[in-house]
Amino acid sequence: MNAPLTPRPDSAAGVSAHDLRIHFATKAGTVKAVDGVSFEIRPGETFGIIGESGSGKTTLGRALAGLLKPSAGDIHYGEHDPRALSRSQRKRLRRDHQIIFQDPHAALNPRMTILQSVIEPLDIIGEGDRQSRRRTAADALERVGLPATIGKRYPHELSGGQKQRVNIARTLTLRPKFIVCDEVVAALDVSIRGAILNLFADLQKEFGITYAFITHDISVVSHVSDRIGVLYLGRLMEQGPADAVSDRPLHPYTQALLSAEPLPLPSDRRDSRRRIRLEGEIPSPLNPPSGCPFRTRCPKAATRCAEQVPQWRELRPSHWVACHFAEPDL
Amino acid sequence: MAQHTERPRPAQDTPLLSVENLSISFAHPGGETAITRDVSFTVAAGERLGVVGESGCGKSVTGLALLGLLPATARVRGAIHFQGEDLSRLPASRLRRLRGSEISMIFQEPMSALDPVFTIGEQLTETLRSHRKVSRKEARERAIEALAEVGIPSPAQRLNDYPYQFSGGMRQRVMIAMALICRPKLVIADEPTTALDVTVQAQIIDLLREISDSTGTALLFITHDLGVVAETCSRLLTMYAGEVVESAPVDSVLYRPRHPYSSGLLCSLPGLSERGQRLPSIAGRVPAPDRMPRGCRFQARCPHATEGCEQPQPLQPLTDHRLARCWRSAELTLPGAVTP
Repeated sequence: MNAPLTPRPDSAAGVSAHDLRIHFATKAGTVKAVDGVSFEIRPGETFGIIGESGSGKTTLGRALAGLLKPSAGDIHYGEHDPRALSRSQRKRLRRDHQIIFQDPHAALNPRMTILQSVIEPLDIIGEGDRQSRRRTAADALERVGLPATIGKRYPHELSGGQKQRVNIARTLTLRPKFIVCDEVVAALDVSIRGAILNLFADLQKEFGITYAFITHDISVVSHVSDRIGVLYLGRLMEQGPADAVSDRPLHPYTQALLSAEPLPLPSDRRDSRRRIRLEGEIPSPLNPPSGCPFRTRCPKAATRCAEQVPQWRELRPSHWVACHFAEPDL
Repeated sequence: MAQHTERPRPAQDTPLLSVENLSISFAHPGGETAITRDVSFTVAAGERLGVVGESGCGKSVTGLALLGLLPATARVRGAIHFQGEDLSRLPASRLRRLRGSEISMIFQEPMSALDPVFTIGEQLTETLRSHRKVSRKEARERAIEALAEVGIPSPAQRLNDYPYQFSGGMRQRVMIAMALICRPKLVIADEPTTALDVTVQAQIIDLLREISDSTGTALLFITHDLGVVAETCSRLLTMYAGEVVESAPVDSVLYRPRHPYSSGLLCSLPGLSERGQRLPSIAGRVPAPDRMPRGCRFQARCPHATEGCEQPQPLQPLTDHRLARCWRSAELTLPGAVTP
């Protein structure tokens, strides 16, 4: 029988995606939600994925969690390729990669007590007996900073932050190696986001968990991530160390995203030239622009951008960009 | 709080909107639940006032009360003076004439605020023609102008489109066009950019600020985002648990908040902490309306709470046109968004 909530011996495991494509057939045509994305998430790190709505970030996250089958390309978990495994092996691998969603309320069954919800994953994988499952669940609740008495309550009695802690606890019972965090603080008040983000950091330290942190909020992603990938219309525009991407971005899209972030600065500390104003909105993924997908909104766009898809170049050490005009010493 | 009504002031000093001791409660079979208590503030002509606070602090309810849009179960006490008239005492017919014409509102979700079965043109001209005596032709021209003003390309053609044919950002522009078409003196914007992407949010913030500057429209900006307030407003009202806890010029709050709650909100912004450092947050949650403490409503979450905080806290005037509902305000040095 497993001891409750101890890191598993082979805990840390990386995840890699290679030329991943996820296409959806619709009446109006094919939506290329993710269209040729490759990256590697190293064991125990937080890989931030940032993008606007329609960038394909949620689709990518669902695929990483194993909830969607890629149309082409592959995802490896450590050395495992899920497609090479038998059904039962795949089921065993399944518990290792989990996902936590944006809306903490929708993710909980309103008719189940908190404890029932936290035990449910263990019931599904059939680990341990009734007693040990209860113990693991109680342990997980305590670990995420909730009082034991909360187990008897129902979701509607909890605040948004408490519910998100419950969702983290129920994921934790499986002691996953990899968690996809899809906009996990977006629905929470700013005042408590910090506490939840700290909790993710603590659990990572204790259990060696690898995270894919998906968000539209650049201040959140740059705070929590080791490395960041910037997604636009299903393709990566830029990828690199978190500090390099957020302090010295190479791609015009990343630069615009950063400058669009409203800052709580007094008027005399503002740089009026700071803002790069993007025209329009993200185009429909049904009919993406030719060449560089960002060119229709890019302040630097030229004819070449419509004709040629920019190469994925390593302009600075481990800092990659897909832009014809990006230069290393910007 | 209501002292300024005691003696008449010169006309230019009379605020456009003056809210005095606004207390809102909702009646239910078991009694009455108080949502806000003694909310008082003013908005000068052309001024942009930001209202911040966590969800459940009474921001939206206050905004809706100004326009008389609360459900029938709501009980509203206090006074809402707009250009000399008390809106809370106006007959429904007079209030309807003011709404959309002198005061208008922009909501968070443009899709649910627009009628899906009418074209944008029909909805814009309906607003205009119900308040102003204009011909159909003239209304149509004014609608085209209004769409052009908010940056919608080829406005004459877009007039015939339905809401679903617009993107999220464009829909919010339509909402702004509709709110502004009668040239109101005051626009109440309730989280107008929260549902939008950050690049589109930046466009809408710029647009609201530019239009307010050029037309002299005052703005009551309800938001949870202090960054948005810093970029749009000149004054800030912090609400907590149904009360105003701080009122001050935006810049002075960003440098030095005088209420621990404002300070806590500012420090919680992840962009202000060093990468990899632990993020500050405010422990606990807003007390439920039926469990409000008698004294300071923030005391259970306040890192500076001591003996004395269990006493009721009045909103105290400080220097620099500021108010704070904290008796320790003068002795505490609270961190803001930047160090002075």
